[in-house]
Amino acid sequence: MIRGKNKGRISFVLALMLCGISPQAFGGSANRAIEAKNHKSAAPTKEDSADYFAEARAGVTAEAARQADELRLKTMSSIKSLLENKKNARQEFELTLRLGELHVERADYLRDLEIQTYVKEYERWEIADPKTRSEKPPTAIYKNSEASLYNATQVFRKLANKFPKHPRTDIVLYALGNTLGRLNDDNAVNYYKQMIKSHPKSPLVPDAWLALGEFYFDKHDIKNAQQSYEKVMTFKSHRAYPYAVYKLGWCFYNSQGVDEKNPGENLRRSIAAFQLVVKLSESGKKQNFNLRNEALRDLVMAYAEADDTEGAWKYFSNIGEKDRFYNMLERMGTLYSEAGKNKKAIEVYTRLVNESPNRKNNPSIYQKLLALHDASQNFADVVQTIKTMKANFTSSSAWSAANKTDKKSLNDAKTLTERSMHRYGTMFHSRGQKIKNPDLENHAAEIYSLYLETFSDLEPAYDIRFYLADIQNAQKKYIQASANFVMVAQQKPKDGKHLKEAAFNAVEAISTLAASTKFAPVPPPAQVPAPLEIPRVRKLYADTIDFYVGLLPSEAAGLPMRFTAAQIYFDYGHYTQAIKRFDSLAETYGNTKQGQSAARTIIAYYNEKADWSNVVAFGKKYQTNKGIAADQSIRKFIDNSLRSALFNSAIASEKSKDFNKAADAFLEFQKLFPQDENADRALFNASLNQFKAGRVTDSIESQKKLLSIYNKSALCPDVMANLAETHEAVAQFQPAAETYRKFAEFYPNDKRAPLSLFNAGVLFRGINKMDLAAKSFADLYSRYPSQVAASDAILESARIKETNGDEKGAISAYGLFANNPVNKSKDEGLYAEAKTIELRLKADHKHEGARKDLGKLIHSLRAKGSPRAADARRIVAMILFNDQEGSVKSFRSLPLDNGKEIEKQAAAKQSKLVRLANAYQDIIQIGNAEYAVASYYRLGELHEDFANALFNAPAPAGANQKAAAEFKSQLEKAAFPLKEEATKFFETAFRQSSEVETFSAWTQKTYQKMGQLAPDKYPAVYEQSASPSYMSYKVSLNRATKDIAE
Amino acid sequence: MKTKNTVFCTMIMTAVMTNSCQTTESGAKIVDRNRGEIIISNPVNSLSAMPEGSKDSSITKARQRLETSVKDTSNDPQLLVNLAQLQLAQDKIAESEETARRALLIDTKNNGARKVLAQAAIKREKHDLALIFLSALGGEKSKDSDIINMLGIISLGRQDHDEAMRLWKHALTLNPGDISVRMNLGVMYLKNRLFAQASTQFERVLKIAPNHQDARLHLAIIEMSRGKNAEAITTFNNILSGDKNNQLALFNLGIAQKNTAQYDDAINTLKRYIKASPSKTEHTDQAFAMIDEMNATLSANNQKVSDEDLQSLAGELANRQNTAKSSSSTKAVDNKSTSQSEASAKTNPVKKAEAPIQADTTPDTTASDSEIEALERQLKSPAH
Repeated sequence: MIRGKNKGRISFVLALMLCGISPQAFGGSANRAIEAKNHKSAAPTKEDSADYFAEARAGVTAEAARQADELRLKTMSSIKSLLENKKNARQEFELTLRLGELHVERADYLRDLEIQTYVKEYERWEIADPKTRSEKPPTAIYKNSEASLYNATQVFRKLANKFPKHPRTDIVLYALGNTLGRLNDDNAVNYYKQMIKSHPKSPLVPDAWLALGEFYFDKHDIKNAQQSYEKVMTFKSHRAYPYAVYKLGWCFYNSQGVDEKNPGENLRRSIAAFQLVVKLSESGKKQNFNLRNEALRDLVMAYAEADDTEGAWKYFSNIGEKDRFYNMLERMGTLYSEAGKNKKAIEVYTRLVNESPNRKNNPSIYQKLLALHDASQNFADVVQTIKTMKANFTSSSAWSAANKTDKKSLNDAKTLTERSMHRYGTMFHSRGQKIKNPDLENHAAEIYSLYLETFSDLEPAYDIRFYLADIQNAQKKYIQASANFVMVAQQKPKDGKHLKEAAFNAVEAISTLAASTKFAPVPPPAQVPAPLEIPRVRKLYADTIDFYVGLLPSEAAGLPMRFTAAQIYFDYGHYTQAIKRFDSLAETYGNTKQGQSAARTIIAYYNEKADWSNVVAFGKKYQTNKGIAADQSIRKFIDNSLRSALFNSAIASEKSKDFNKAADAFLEFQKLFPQDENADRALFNASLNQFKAGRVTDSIESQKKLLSIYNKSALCPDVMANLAETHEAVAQFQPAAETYRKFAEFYPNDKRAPLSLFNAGVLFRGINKMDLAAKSFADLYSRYPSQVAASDAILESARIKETNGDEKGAISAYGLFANNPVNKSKDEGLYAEAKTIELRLKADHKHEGARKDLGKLIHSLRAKGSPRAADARRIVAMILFNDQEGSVKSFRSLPLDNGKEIEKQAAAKQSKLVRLANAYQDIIQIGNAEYAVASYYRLGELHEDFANALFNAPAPAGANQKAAAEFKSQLEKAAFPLKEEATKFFETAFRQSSEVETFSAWTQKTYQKMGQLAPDKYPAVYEQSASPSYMSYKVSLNRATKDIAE
Repeated sequence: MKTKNTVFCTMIMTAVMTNSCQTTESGAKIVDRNRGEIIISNPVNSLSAMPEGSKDSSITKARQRLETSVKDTSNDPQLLVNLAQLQLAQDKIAESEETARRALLIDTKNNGARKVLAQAAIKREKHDLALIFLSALGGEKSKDSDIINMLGIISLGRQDHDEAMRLWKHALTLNPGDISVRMNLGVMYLKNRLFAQASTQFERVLKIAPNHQDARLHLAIIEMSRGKNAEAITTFNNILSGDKNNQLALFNLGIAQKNTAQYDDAINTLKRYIKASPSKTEHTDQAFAMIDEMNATLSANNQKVSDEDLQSLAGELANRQNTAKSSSSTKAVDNKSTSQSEASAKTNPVKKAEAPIQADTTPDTTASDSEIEALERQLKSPAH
């Protein structure tokens, strides 16, 4: 224990100078002071009295001391100068004595500096890193001060030798003894004794005895010390008397056990000496030494040593120093404790704190009690004591109120409490774990809790909380344990030494709790209609996992935890949250079991929900995740799900008429699973949806792709048929026709094949590929003769052949068509029949078969209820009309040029006319307007020709003028009616043409003829008119086209 | 100028005609505001009194605007069809087909696009091709007079005049306001000399589209057939004031001038006609014949005209014919007429047409007609 301060020690040296007490024993005081730090107690030394001498130098500042030293040096210099003059002995003695004293004073000053230097060095050493600082602490160096002392001894020795009889030589001897004592030179004793002996009347004799007592005391020569102090006590009025008594008390105290017969005697003497010192202090006599406090303190020690509790209580009560009693009790407790009398020590200490609860030193008493309870294995008492300490020293209490002015004590008490909690908590914890004593761990936990309640903001709280959580976990207090682990992890989230363990344990604790907790069953996976409330423990579990993962995102242990947390949310229907978590796992840890399970869970969930778009989205994402895809099982699962989802998604889009989306989904399917058994169908469906979405080009490409890639697909017929239709729909007739044709070739047994050929034919014809058109039609009716389309194909083929000049082929085809029972008696059948007749007659005008057929056809056309058959009628009428053209020519060539044979000639011509008229009548009855007009026209012409012939006929040769005139007149009579008849026929022709508005070359011929016959009524017209081919181009009226309107 | 059509009271049609000196922007453009539609009617061949669509700046402007729009919003089939229609109206057949096909690729059921393709095919005289489209549009069962009209044109092309007439008449039952159909009917009636019926159609056209130059011109021809040559001359000159080389107007003006014994003018007009003709046709032959005839008459009156001019004109026409032939491989339209003309040009470059019908072209007769007409006007004018 350090009793005093450096400042006090320094002051004491000076005081010793003044009071004559030898300072020699203080040579190693500084070192001891430092060394004494770890000593519980020590015998009193001179240093212990320093406080009492400190006042003489109190308040002297370093600067003042320095200035004093400067003055001192000047004085010494002056003295030396004076001494060199050697004027007289008396002056020499005084000057020399003063010089010696100044050397001593200066030594004190220098020693102060040396001590200060040492103290500073020591403090530096003390706070330095033990690893890098020097192993041994610095030592004090008194070289300068000792040098000054040596100077002093030289001066004093010289003076003592030169002036042995001088009246003041006692002073010199005493000063020399003191100086040598300080230099630890045993010759000091001799000089003291020489002075006592040579100057027995000197007032310095008691001082010399005191110095001797101190010298012996320091040398543990208690006997000589006791004798020396007793010599001093003979000078009762001397100022050192109380001190000598006091030191005598110590001599007795240190002589315990010397008298074996009466072992307590010296201790009783010691008590008496100390009580005397106290008394002396109360005598009112002014003394240099007031050692009351020291004596009372030492009395405590002595009573305790004497185990005289009652005596002490009595004494201290009498003198009004109860505190001293308690000090005594404390001391007594210490002694019991040191003696291993724990029970008694506990009793004493307990009495002490109970009777003096506000005693400043109580914290240390509790500390001692803790140690004693612990040593006695009273663990509960330890805890209780700590609780008491907490109550008294860490918050407002009677003790803190009583000691409120002593901040240091308050702080110290708090610190002590904190350290005690820490110490006993960790100790019990460690011990409990070691010996597997749960009680101890419980006590530790209790102490930890107390600590955390009180000192949560202190650094050790970090460890304490971790330890507490550890115990709580062992105690199955999982929630508390987890909470504390979390707090530990949170406290130092970057580099806390318990960070990882605490975070992990936090999860582990809740995990254990969750595992041992029974929860209500949850619905089957993915079938929670609305999010359910997650049970507290499971929610806490998930939250703790989140905490762990957030804190230590790269820890491997976090992976299974994250899966667990996601699963909790999933189980209770918090699907958004769960899927977000699973997805994160799958994406980041695809190569792990958890990542793959997460991926599987998500896809399975969306499968269950028929949320195909999400199955597709996640499926595609996971397909490209190398980690996930590496696992065959999950890969297969994803592929299957994706397949199904893409298809279903596409179908759903299709149903909702989102054709674009549907098409894309089908395409995606094919792209992702080109070898899938449904890949061809996907492509086909894609094309259909593309078409519906207006992406016709895409649709065509998809179909082509299908035909190219999956040419064995059962869908190919449908696709090819569809492709042809698509081409046709967008007016791409060449590929449409080719595809139709290809279809028929590839799939001849398909029911669409005939129509495809027909379509091919029509389209080839449309783009003027007549050969291909004809071939297609021909193939149709040759391959599928019984098909309805075959019949049409025959007709189309016939027309093309006719156009191309293949008349035989055309006849054959028309005949084929006409003979088809389906076409019999129908317009087109009759038309084809007419065409065969027309073409055969064209080749052979007299073709019997044709003629025969013509007759039949005419008969059928004339029959009642016969079909309109306009084309057939036109052809038949044309044939019949053309048949008559030769007769017409013949008729015209019949001459009326022989007057003698005129009647005969006219009769022949008339006969011919009648036949022709009948023939034209037959033509008219066929019912074709064009040839009816033509027939009327021809009839007009024939009559006109006949009339003209009559008008121009020559009179018979040799007829006289009269006969000739009569002949002419006779013919004209016949001609005029014919002329009128002709006009009527022309008019009829023109009228009929106008009425039925049938326009042909005959119409214009008729008009021309009418113009000739009645120019006023039918004026000749020259003109150039437009072609009757006007078409309308219509555009919407809008901003773009408004200019046209304006 | 707006004209309320009293016959089709539900429809207010406004025909718009803008006259200017050189670039007459007139013709059969009808704005049907009720339907929000503009109708441009033109004959397939270029013989028309109306300005060619390609020279109509308003159509060109609209087309260009639509072309720009189409670039931005190419997925609007209606926009594409509008553009295709304008392109077709301006004889940009290939572009029109491409545009229409684009529309079909977006909307395969777009009948507007099919109609354009059918029209284009007709313009190219690919009637089988046109029939495929028209068949897809419902064929004869269609309720769209445009479709029926086109079927009529195809029938006419196949020399089935009766069928053409039947179809056009049917078209009118579907849309009495279809001026294209009425023009076709009118021309058919005129060609077959049913002047009253023809006149009715042209007048109906003019009621719907008062500035329809073709209707006016054909009415003038009918007037001319009735001896009202002076009015016809005025009409033809009006047309020529906007389009000085209009062939229809020149030819018919020449005839009207000839009818009124204005031989010098008639000869000059017919020469202009021959100069303006792109190729040798039966009408250029007729023109030559009429010039010869009038020269003969003038010669008889000591006013002979040099034959050198005619020789020169015949030579120029032959050259134009050759030029036209060399470019005919790229022009689908009018191939038929070109080839016909070519044949005759080789054998007889200045072949004089056989006088079609012996008309009374003597000055006296013409004068007499004029006098009668003048008297008639004198009789009628005060009362009316």
